[in-house]
Amino acid sequence: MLKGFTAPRSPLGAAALVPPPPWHFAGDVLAVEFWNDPDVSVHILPMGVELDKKHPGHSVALFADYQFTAQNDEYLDPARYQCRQFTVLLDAMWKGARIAWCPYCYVDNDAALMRGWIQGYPRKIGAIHQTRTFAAASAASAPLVHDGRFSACMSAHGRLLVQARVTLREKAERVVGLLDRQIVGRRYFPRLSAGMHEKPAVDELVRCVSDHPLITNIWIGESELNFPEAYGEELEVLGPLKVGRGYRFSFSYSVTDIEILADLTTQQSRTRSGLRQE
Amino acid sequence: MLKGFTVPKSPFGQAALTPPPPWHYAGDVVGVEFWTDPDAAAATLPNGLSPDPNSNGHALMMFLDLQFTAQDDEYLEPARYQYREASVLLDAMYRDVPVMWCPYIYVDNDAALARGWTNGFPKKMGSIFQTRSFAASGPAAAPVASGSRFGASLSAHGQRLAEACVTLHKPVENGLSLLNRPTVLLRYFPRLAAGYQDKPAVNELAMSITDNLTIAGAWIGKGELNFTETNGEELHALAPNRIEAGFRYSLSYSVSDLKILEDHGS
Repeated sequence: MLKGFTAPRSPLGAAALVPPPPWHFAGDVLAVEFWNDPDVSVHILPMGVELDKKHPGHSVALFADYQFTAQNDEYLDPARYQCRQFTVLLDAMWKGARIAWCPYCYVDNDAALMRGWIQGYPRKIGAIHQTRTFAAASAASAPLVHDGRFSACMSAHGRLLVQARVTLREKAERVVGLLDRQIVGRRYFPRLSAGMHEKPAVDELVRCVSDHPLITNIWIGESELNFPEAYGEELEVLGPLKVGRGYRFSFSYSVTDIEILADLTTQQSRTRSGLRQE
Repeated sequence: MLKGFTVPKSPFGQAALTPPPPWHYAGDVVGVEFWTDPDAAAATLPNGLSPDPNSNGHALMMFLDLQFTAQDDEYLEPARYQYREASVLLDAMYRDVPVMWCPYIYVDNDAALARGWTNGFPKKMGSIFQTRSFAASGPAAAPVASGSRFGASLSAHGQRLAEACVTLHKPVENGLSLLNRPTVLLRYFPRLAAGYQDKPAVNELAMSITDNLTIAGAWIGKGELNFTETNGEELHALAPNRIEAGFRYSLSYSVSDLKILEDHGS
């Protein structure tokens, strides 16, 4: 009997890309609030998800530098379980509820890639970096202080995709207007058998369930953000028309569950049969 | 309507990790044919496969240096569509058909990872290298000739997993004889919803379909192979007891289909 929460399933279950939940995360975030063109960003939404008309095009670019653990001290294996991540979240609505839709997400680690696919984040591999803060004072230590500056960038396959800069202005108790919505993603796994390439085995709209979310050491400031155009990506069409506040904070949360909002495989087949009747 | 064969699905379908099939591959292979502990090999087999009574424990370790294209000149984007791969293949039986089973495989590229998962290859990321052969002669050129040596290695997350060296002895007339069984794979995608985490959404035994498989410039010779014990991997359980041979060849093939043998449901 092979074991493992994911492939590769193996005799001892030690080779799987990801150990089973509960999953725990802790890390630092550099985030930039921005607005893209709602006439363009509406096209990134899946069936059933609509733009938030009260906040058209409002989005967040989020760089995370984080550490993962499950039940076996995974955080003591930093090569395998530390990860850097870039995520775009777009304000949207699902059946009247305010949500954040995740159109694109990049990580630098294979375990994170697999966790993402399982959670409905459409992850690809990228090279992601952000300025870190260190306790020993020096010109290089980037302290969390007024006028402290932090940069971040993401590239993939040798092309720059995102650049961001945040200049800290004030400490805050809470991140107002940021990460205050349930994140919705899409679990998607295709078929390769001939004739089935457009009939995925899994196509579900899902709500990510976060346990014990904690956000601390929050700083708010000014920001810059830029999505250069690149082959093989469509990130640039979601690029900023206007940039809002920048944020820098530390976070932690856990994942043990996910909520399935809709099975799009059955909805698509209903739509197709409806079309045939016409 | 969002487009794309895989995530991320996007308005123009340009952002997906991999374009849709047909997929075409060309590359070079350095490999070692070996025998591992039959019990260790049998322990990696999924439901539906059984040990091959004639060759249980017989295995191939393959290092591949590959270029990919689909319908859009992807081979002209080397940063995204060249990749390296290391895989182990074990002799097994599907009913009365001799097959190879792929328990572990590593690549250095996310597009290859996504295609692999779709196909049933349990790919993880690794750093994979092999000695290449260049046309201009010299001590670094590694010609494809008797006595030439080719090294290869696999590491992941800072640990060395496998090392191989092949010394070429003689050309092989029928290169296809070196790869004469179909590969059987497990397409597997879990659920995360509480209470369903051991009831996967996809759990299918599948047989890989390779069109126009071509092997050129095949040589066999001496093989050396070593698997290192590492944290978070079980490759070392398949370490060689005995080496049969080493080989090197160029190969090409296409993929546009997959045969589902058994749906193991959840």
